[in-house]
Amino acid sequence: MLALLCSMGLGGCDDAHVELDVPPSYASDPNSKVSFTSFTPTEGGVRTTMFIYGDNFGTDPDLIDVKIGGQTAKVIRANNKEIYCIVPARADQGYVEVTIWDAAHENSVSHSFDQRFTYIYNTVVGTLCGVVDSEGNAAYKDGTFEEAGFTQPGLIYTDPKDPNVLYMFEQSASQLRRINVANETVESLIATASGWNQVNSIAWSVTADTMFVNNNQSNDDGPAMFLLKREEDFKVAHLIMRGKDCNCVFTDPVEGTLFCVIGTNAKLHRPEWNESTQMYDLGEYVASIAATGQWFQSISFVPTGDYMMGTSRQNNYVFKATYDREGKRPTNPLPFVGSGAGYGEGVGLGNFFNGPRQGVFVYNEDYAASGAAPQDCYDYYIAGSANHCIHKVTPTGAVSTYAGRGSVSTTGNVDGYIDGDLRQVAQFSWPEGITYCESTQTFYISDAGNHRIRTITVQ
Amino acid sequence: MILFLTGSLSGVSAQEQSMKVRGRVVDSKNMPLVGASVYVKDVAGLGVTTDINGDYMIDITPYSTLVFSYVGYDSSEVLVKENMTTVNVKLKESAESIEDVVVTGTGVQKKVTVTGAISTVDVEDLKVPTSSLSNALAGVVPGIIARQTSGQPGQNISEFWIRGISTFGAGSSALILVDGFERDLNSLNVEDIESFSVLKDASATAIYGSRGANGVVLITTKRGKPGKVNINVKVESSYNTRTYTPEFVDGFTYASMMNEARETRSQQRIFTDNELFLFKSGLDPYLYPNVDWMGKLLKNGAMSYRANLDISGGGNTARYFVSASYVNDDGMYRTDEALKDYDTNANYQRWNYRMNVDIDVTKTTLVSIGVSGWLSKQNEPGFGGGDIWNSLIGSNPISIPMVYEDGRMPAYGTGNRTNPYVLITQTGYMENWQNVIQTNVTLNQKLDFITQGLNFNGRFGFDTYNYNYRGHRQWPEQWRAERMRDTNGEIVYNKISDEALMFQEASGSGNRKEFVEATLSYDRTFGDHHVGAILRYTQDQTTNTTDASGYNWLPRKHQGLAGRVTYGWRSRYFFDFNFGYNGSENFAPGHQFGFFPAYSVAWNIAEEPFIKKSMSSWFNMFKVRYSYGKVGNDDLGSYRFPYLEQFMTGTTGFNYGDYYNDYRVDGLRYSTLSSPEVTWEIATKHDLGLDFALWGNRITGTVDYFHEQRDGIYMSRQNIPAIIGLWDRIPYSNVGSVLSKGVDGNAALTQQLGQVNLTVRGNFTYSRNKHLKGDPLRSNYPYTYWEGYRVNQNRGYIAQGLFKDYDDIRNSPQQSWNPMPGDIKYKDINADGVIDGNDQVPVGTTSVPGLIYGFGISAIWKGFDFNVHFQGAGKSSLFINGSSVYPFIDGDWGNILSDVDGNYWTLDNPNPNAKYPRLSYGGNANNYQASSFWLRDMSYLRLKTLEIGYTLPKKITRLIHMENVRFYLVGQNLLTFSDFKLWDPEMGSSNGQQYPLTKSVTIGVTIKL
Repeated sequence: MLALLCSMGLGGCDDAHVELDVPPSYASDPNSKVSFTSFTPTEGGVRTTMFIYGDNFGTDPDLIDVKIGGQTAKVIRANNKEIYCIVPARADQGYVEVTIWDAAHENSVSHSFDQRFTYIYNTVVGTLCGVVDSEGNAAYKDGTFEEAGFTQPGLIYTDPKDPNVLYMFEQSASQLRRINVANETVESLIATASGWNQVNSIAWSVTADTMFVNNNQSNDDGPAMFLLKREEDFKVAHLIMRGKDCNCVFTDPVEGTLFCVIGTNAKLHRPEWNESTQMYDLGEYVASIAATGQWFQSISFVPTGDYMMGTSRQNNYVFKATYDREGKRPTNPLPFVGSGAGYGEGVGLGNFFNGPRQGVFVYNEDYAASGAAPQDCYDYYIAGSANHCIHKVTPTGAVSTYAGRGSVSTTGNVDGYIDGDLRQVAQFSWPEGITYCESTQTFYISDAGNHRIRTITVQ
Repeated sequence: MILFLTGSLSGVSAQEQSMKVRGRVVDSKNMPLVGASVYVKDVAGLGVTTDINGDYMIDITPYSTLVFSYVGYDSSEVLVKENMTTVNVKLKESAESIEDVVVTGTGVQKKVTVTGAISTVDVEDLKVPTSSLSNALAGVVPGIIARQTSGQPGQNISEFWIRGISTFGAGSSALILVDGFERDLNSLNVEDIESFSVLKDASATAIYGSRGANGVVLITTKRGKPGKVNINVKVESSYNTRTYTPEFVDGFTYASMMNEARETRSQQRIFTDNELFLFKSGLDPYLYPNVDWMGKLLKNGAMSYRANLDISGGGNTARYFVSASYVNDDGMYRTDEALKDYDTNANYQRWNYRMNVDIDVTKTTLVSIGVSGWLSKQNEPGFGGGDIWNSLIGSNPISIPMVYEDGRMPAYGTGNRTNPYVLITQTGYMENWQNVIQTNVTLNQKLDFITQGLNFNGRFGFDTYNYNYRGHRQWPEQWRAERMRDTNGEIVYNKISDEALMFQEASGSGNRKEFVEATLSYDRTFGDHHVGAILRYTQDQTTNTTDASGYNWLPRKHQGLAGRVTYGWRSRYFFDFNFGYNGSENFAPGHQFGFFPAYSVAWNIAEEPFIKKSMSSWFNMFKVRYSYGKVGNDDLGSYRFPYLEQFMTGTTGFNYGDYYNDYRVDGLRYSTLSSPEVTWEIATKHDLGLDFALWGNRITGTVDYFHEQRDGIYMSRQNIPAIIGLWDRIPYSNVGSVLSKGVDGNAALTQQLGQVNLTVRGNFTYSRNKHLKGDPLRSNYPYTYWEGYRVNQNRGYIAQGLFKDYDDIRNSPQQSWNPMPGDIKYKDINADGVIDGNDQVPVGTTSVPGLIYGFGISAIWKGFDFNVHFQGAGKSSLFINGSSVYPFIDGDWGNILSDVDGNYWTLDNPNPNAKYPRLSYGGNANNYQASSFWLRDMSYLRLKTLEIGYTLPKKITRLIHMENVRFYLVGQNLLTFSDFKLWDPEMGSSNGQQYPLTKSVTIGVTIKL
């Protein structure tokens, strides 16, 4: 009788262990017919989820090939009756083709649906480069896009002479790196950071053959600004100015006048060339940008040269100052939009920003069409860092969110790494740098929290 | 093994010259006595038993004394000389049968002489397959209100109160005495119990002084009897399942409800239609999972094993009782097959042992020594216990899969909001073990040489309790997937928790108790008068052995003097007077001692001559009794020495010199105000009872009406004006008062129907209490005061259904929480046009049931016995809440019961009488609060026990040298009938987040040698 009891207990043995539900993986059955019924949806943009229905597909995604509109689509999963895949970019050729292989990957059954697939081009957020491992860590590495890693990408700039080249700062190492979109390579420019403490901004000369880079450090005699030449492939850093707390450097696009900001007292200086020392002198300040000392990391002129705008990283606002071309100085710098830390959309001095970083001007032809003056035809886009989004500021001071904080979820997280529709899906994590390439109409964004360079373009 | 043992034992007596003796044993009517014991006096051995004809045969050496004994009959001894080969014996029935005896605080008394309210429980009724004795009380013992609150192995005990809850200030639990010493009930081996009595009224408990105010449970353990060696073996094995397993909605329904909960409150929906399709089809089980956590992680059932062995016997100079038992309860968690080094399942094992020895040092001196105790081990998953069940209830089906494709562990959040699979199987294990040793020495000396009937009894007891914890735990690395796959279709992982490698920890605590008791008693009959008196002194001390914080370092002590005088005339009129004089450490000198008297009278109407003459055939006992007494209670829970004040440095101070903070001195303020006048909480109890036995003891029963008022309850004083300057320190005093009254009783009917022996019995306890006096803040509305209402009465708004539309909202009294159509509408009790705190009224009853009842039938036919017992509770209600019934109150933490699906108000189907209101995401101040909308009636009726047993016929058992073999099959908690169907109503849980109670099937065998 005890034996009976024991077997009763043993009978519950399978009951005693957790069964992990691993979905079975098997190939299509070669002895049965493979049928294809339909697919849905029949139109959509990049990253749309598509379901293909039929029978006898097998469940192994490696044995199923799907081509949508001429581009290979990634098959996520299949369960013998349904295939779940994602529409790739530029899948505009019109037709959906499915190929089911047998287990040995030798024979296959193909089908092309009669129903057309209409590909819709959308402006979406994508990823350019940046290798991140499965633990979520990235290492500072040069090389091809397959290998290159960024740990903390900072401000980013397009090369005015070559639309395929970008320059960005690797903040963790105080390095300047060059990304070539056409060759798909990333390289570091300066062999050893000689005296580079904290570099963050670039200013171009009028011909774009010379690049000025600021260096922020706390010694009066320490290096404040370096000069790099295109003929040296921007690989040699020449010290051209000494001073402390040089936050940022920018030039007037029309005449090339050099300006820099000393952060301790928010003073704008216009360094003068000193022939005898062959260096720039900081000199006296020409304007006071703000009442208290703070960190201005990114200031730039509107391409017409009529005014300048810049972001106050610590005090969460954007200032605007008209440029007096005669006196070569800004007049009346005042807060334009933003006041306290926060997130929102609206007009004027509201709590819209949280640690705003790089800003960039982008020409908007709608303003020109409605008759605005040339200098009022530009929107100002800002990398929002702690707000995990790209803000857009119109010439009249209206602040809105251009991209990011999408994929509403139950956790309420607005930061993450998700590509897709600008507002509904895409997510950034601490975007710090943003730049715009006119010829390809592409934004490039330094996504510091995600260790990647992201893009916004039509796909 | 047992057969071998009997064989060797019976072989011992065959050493010298032996003779065979045979004969027949009959009773006074010459009917054969089947199964009577025949054995040799004072010789080791098991003896033989008579067969169906009353015949026996035994091998003995000549000139031995044979003893013939049978339950309920006087034993007979015969010296067998050489030529006596046939010895026939006629046995006489015992004058006293066992049921007529009651164990009281002062010893064993004939039931007919008892004047107090005492319930005696047949120990057989308590032998249910459970590891804790407290689970057997509800519905079996009249006068006890009990409920089991958890089914987790090691914690599946019941809380119980004698005659309900009668106070809210001090402790309300009963005093439990095992062999006269205060010991724990839950780990006691039920097979060791000889008698179980519950003392309910003042006169029965007065002898226990202050600690008897809430009633006393008296348990005595078995002792050896002179005679042959008795061996009892019991082995049983149970298959346990859950009485209720909560049913939750599936992933697709949950996601759809989530979208609806947000859209109905103008928030953005979370899931697109494509994503809902992925939930439904299960195409992407890692990013769009649909996990049935309970179904995957809980076993369908678990096994329990129990075994017991006891041996008793003895002779005229010494007697012994030795027992050992083993309990093993396995838990319901599944384990990870890959982990073979240790077990993460919940498990409870306990080994009990006991030895009682009685030594007759002289004819008048009896020394008893007892050693008992247990060792228990409770195993749990590493971060387990209460967290696991919360995690199983709280994890929704769609947030995370159980394990990611590449083997990573998913986590919803940190701590106990991680993955239930991780909590149950991947965190190592914890072991709690207890080691308890209880010893006592008793000296009983008859002092007849001083005066006849005088007796002295002295006892000393020493108990040690050791609790130990050992943990071998770890915390794996955990991740959570990004909301969407990346452009290559791969899942992006974010790390939620870092790994903590396996670590060890251990800790322990314990205490020891020492008791001393001395009793002088006098008991004598002078003709028709029976007189008795008792004087008793007790003192005890409990010392905590590891905790040195605050007052915990000081031992807790009690000291008291109690006495009783009894007088009975014939068996007709009885009178008792009891008193207790106790001191408490909690009160200031001058207030420490209290004198508590009690009186009781009883009149056995059935003994009156006029009744005896005419109706004695059917009117066997009809005793009316009344008792009145005062008992004190000083158990203030965690407050010790409340007459002492305590100070602390305050938050304010003074800075001398006004120069930075260099010369700052902190101020001194009270952390506890003293109550120098604090004294006893006094219960004044009345009890009117009736004990009856009719128709030749075929119908027996008891009914008691009790009335208890407890005054001087120690409570906080709310109504103190601010000008007194006490700031936020609230003083406590003896100002509260509670009245508790009710009825309890039991009845049994035995009847012989042909060959079937039938017994029907039932019992009930009904108690209702109410506050008489408190000290609340002044209010304009009498219904907001506690006075006049039950202790722990449920309070809330009265709901009038759901709002129909916006016009309905506009035309109703204003509810400040911005309701929408489909939200709950409340009644404006004070008609001031606004719904606020003054509209909260008493609703329903209390969570602890006010009525517990049980009834059952047992029948015996030939060798089969059949027993069915129902138990029920009534007058119990509570508000349900928590994330299982308030959907999405905590965002997406909390799984939703399937009862909600289809029963809530929607825009498509606006039913103002729907069971659940309009959905909302993230909580809703209007709907999710205590009101009659959420009040549920928690009364239930359970088929508690269904038992079928078969005793093997004596012919067969004699062949294998055994006296009695019984097989049995017991089903427990098989059916539950209740209006409330979401979770087990007995648990008293408002959110269902407790380990469910067990339903089990047991088979077992008892063998008596």
